Amino acid sequence: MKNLLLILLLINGMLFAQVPSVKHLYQLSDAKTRSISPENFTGEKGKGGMATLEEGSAAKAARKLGQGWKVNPYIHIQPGETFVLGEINDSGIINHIWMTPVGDYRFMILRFYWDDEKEPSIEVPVGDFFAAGWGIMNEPVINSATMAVNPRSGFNSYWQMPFRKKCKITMENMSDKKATVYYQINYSLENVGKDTPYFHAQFRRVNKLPFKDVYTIVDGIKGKGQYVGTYLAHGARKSGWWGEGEVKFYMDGDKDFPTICTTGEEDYFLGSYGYNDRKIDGVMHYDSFSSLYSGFYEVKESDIDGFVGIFGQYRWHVLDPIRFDEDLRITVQSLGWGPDGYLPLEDDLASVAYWYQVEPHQPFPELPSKENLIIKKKE
Amino acid sequence: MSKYFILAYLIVFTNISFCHGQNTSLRNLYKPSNSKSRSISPENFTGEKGKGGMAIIDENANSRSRKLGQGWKVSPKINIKAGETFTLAEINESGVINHIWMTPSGDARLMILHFYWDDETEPSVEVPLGDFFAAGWGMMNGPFINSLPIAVNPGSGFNSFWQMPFRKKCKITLENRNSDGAGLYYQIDYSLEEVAADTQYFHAQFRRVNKLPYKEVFTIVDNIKGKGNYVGTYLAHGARQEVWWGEGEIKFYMDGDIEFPTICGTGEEDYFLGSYGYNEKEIDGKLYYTDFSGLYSGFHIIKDKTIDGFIDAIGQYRWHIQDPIHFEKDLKITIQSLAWREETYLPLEDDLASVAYWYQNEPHNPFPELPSNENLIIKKKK
Repeated sequence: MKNLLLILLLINGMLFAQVPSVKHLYQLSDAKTRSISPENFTGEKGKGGMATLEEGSAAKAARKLGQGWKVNPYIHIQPGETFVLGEINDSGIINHIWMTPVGDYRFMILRFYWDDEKEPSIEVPVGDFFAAGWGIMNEPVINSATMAVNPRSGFNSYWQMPFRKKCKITMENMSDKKATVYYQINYSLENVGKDTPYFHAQFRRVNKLPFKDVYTIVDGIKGKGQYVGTYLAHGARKSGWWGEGEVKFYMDGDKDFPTICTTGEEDYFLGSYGYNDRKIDGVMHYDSFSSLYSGFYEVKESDIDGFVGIFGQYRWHVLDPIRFDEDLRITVQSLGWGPDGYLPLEDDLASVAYWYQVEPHQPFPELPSKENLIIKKKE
Repeated sequence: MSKYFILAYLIVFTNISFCHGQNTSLRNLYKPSNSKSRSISPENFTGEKGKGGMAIIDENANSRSRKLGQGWKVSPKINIKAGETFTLAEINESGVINHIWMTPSGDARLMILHFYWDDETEPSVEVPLGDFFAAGWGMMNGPFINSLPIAVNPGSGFNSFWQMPFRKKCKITLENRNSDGAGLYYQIDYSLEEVAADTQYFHAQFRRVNKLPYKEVFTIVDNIKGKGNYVGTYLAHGARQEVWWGEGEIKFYMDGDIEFPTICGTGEEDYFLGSYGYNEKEIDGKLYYTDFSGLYSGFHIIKDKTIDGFIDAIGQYRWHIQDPIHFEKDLKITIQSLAWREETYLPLEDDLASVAYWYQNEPHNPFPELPSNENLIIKKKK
């Protein structure tokens, strides 16, 4: 009987899913809804919009209106400072995050800590986390099941992020200029089922991939979990098609050969035939798309230096999560078309890997240095 | 042992209530279901099994089907006379409305949808037809909306995918407050099935204040009593001045909050999940924005230039699908209307109209009286 109960609980846990459904909305819930923003840093009940003109970030704009009139809607983060966006000492789930940051996104590092862990489960520059890694004024529009980027920089995450005892979210400003963030973190205080794993996201970047090396999206994942998504920014240095490389998933002891092997970079991101590429007057053209489970975009007319093409791609494994029991490593090749077949590229690749797993997770590799994070601008 | 049985029963039961019925979760489609699918339209007013497309040709009328006869689109639409209230559907059973499609002709602000659950005499939904579908400004040139619970397809293809369960009865009416007759094609798709004990009822309430008094806040909804989930907001904003108009904060007062809310937003466009004035740009003294229609939120500028009195007519929606707002006892939601001028907030006297969508246990508190025709109507240029 106890075993049956466990199995049933597991089935319930699986239904706790990312698939958007309006069905659960009519069911009664004992969860308590709370929301953290600069207007209510603790999220406590009945404590929203209390900032006075003496303490508000927008006190000047509100000076004629007073308390309650948008006195503190945003924060500033000074150079070198790490700001605690939210700290919740309870059991619950983050259901939605909205933010609109101003600054150099690559130098604004989001970190999430679950329960008492010292090593963050998420460590990603803010733009990349929302699949918009190419910086301010170079954002795409994304309308997907788990992420939305609305015109200009309305960044939204609907990834469900459960925690049992505590959740701490910080943003570090690594740049030498002040950063500004408006944000809202919507969560529910509720019990979290026994079989629930935690959300993780890891950033990597190799600005110039060594000739014939493969790019590692993530490795060293140890534990049981499910891989749920990839964002890949690709800066192409050579004119011509750049997306032939295969994505490979090495899981549960795979060494030389992976279990899951795809057929090409744009294939993994659910596109086809060079994202409909064609050359017009010597310039490559592609068709951008943003759908529920994957998308591709080209950043055009940007201030970014050093590339002939600047691209973002996302794939969410929402209906097709990749379950692993012990370990996971994911790589992608970077290949173009040459006169004699495939041409290994030395492009700029940056990625975010998203997954759920049981804690503890392996510590992440150190984040690249500022020099290796930065996106160079035209002089 | 019996304790385990009860627990097991509860878990299975929860699972089942997750799995049956129509659902955008593809994971559930392969599961068997005992619910019965039915559909009401002018071709089958009762929704009864095997009773669709039975209308016969009225020999006195100049029917479009006269050369074809019964079964050939004889009764695809209804006409509602001025002042008449038409019963679109009445279902005397337990079930769930899964989808509604309709396309009206007439002034949709003066066509009022009412939904009654079980035996209630006060409607749980009372909203002008266009506003209910997040298209409150009329039907010229869009908007196009491609969201999870609402779709507005080119022309006026209004769709709702909100799930609306009922235990004994469901009655849907449409009141035509126009001075002329109104036409309507419609289809209401539902399933006859058991409704679980923990299931709440769908509610939607409309409000409008055409000229917000200076420094007052607009109330999206208040006086909700009971336990439930708040699931969405549509806000139509008629901006009277050529300034950025979306600085106002939304506030959710719940479960006894009096002076200060529990949930406080950071700006109007922020609540609708946009940013920086919806990518606002000034060109030759005129402000331009970027529309979007996402799964969970959207923003659009109405292209119909016959609307009188505004610099811009704006529609915005936000659905709390993954992030429903649970309340235990009560809920009130307000929004400020603020512009940004010379580094200072400027209180606006704009036209705000809203629909609040939520689920709750019955009985619900009666709604405030709907505005008069004069206060409902959207004025057109002469």
